[in-house]
Amino acid sequence: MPMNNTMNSGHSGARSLVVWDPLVRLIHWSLALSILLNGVVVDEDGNLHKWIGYVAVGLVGVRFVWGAVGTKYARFSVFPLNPVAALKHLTAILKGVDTVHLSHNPLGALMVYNIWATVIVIGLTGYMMGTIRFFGIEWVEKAHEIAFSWLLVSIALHVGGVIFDTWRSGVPLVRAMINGRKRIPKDRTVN
Amino acid sequence: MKKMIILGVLAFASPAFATELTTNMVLGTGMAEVQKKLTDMGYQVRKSEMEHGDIEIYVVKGSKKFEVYVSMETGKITRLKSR
Repeated sequence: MPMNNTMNSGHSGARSLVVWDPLVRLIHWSLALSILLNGVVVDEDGNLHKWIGYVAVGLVGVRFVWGAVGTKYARFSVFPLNPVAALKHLTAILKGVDTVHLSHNPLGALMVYNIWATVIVIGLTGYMMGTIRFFGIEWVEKAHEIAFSWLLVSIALHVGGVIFDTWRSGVPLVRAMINGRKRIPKDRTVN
Repeated sequence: MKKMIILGVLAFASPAFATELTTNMVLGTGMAEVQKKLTDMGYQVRKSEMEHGDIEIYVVKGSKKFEVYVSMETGKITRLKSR
């Protein structure tokens, strides 16, 4: 059972736990790539933009299913959408509490749901723009653009949060999203 | 036979009522003029704006969607994107 597999990471006393399963990691980086491609690289008028959009929404869709039936730390139940908990977490941070969360911390969870919801709004409005009914309808285009701007703001906050939490908790989060393992310093309480 | 006659009439009549958009077709040099022309041709104007000194109009007709760019100098369609 590799889920709670503990091993010595080389740092004295630090524990290394498998947290993010391959599907979670694949979805994370594929979604990041599709956002980068559609937002920066690909011609927004082209067919490729449309297909990458479908892929992005599909990735979120698969993640939703995985959130219900997936591995332990991938499940919605371990990182519920809870603004109150997020606020509590924020005050705990300010008080200097350095508890480590194995899945997303409550603030991170809020961001994750926000990003998924935003991707869905972008996908939906993008799809609408291609239908006869909504082609050239201004509010749909505006909604698509505003949602994308919001996504960029969210990603900036997400990256900022990852950097900050890596510093705060001592767990290298980017590496965890690459190899799936969270390396937890020995003196930290795990939540 | 009846079908043949209808087809024949259509083939003869259609050039007089050009409703298909093509590049270089003259639509007009003003926004209102271009909008009216497109509407008269049976297109529903969805959005129109100025883009780099050209008129850009989104139109639909039936199941067809177009982005039409018209030069304000020549009044001609400079670019036609079927969407």
